[in-house]
Amino acid sequence: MKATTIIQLKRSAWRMTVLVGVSLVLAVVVNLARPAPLPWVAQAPYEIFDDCPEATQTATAVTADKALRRQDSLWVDARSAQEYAVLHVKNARHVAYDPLFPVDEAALTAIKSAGRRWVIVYGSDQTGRLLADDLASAGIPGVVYVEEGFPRLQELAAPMDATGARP
Amino acid sequence: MSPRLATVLLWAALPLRVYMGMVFIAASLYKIYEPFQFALSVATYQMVPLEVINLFALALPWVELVVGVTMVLGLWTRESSLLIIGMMVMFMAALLYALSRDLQMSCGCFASQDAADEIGWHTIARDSLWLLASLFVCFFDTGRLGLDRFLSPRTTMGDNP
Repeated sequence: MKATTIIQLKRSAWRMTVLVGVSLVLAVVVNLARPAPLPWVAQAPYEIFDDCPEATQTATAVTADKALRRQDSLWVDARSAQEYAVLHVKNARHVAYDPLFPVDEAALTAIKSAGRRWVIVYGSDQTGRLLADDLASAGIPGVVYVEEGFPRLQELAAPMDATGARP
Repeated sequence: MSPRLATVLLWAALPLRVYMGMVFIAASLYKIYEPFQFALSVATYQMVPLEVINLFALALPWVELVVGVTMVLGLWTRESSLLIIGMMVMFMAALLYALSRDLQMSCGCFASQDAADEIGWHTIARDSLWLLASLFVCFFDTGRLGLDRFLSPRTTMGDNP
């Protein structure tokens, strides 16, 4: 390698060191001048959002009248606690669907241990389908969801209750 | 390379050099103003150990700003563009890592994680173009159209004798 090239490389390395050094000095000075300096080493882990767990299984849809005729079934209400408290399908368990959190382990255990042939999920909007997908993905067999959800069950005069089991 | 072609490439590199300098100055401002938000962005990539996150978040924006200013001024152009190339490679590696893990997040390049600019292949494409621009500047900007002209112009690295 030519001597001039070596000199140029050394000069470049020196200049880059100077650029980074000046930057570090500025970083230190400006951080010290802040009313609340950011510590150079984080004191606690940052709270970052992890990706929501995604369903890997898809539950089957059933019409409300077919769902009402099914025997040996466990009904699951995916709506909010407030909606559930007002009115729900008789003996339905409440498992509110939350897109940001996985299904509560206690609820999963309760549904599994019920040992019913069918787990019929209903909700409002898409909550019934989404919760049903989550339950199916958790390995619960026989999970279906009611098309058109709770409003359709009300139209068909399904047996209702204002109190019920909660896992 | 013929002197005529070298001159053409030198002039072609000028707007790219100023543009890349402005990009890095723009990228540094929010990070300097809101270091905590930038630290949060760094943490969101889940790539840097916790002990290093704040150091990185405090120092990197100043390197971006200083190098951005020197690029615009044409001062130590080769060295500034080399640092920018290094940073671009690092940013692209972080983006590829995040995409490979299917992280749904904002880039954090010009604004905090609250911004709506979710990372994707378009971000990689944008950074690739910027990397190419920086390489072009590094190879063809011999410093004669900036302050480098007044600093030992005969020995500026890469100058043809």
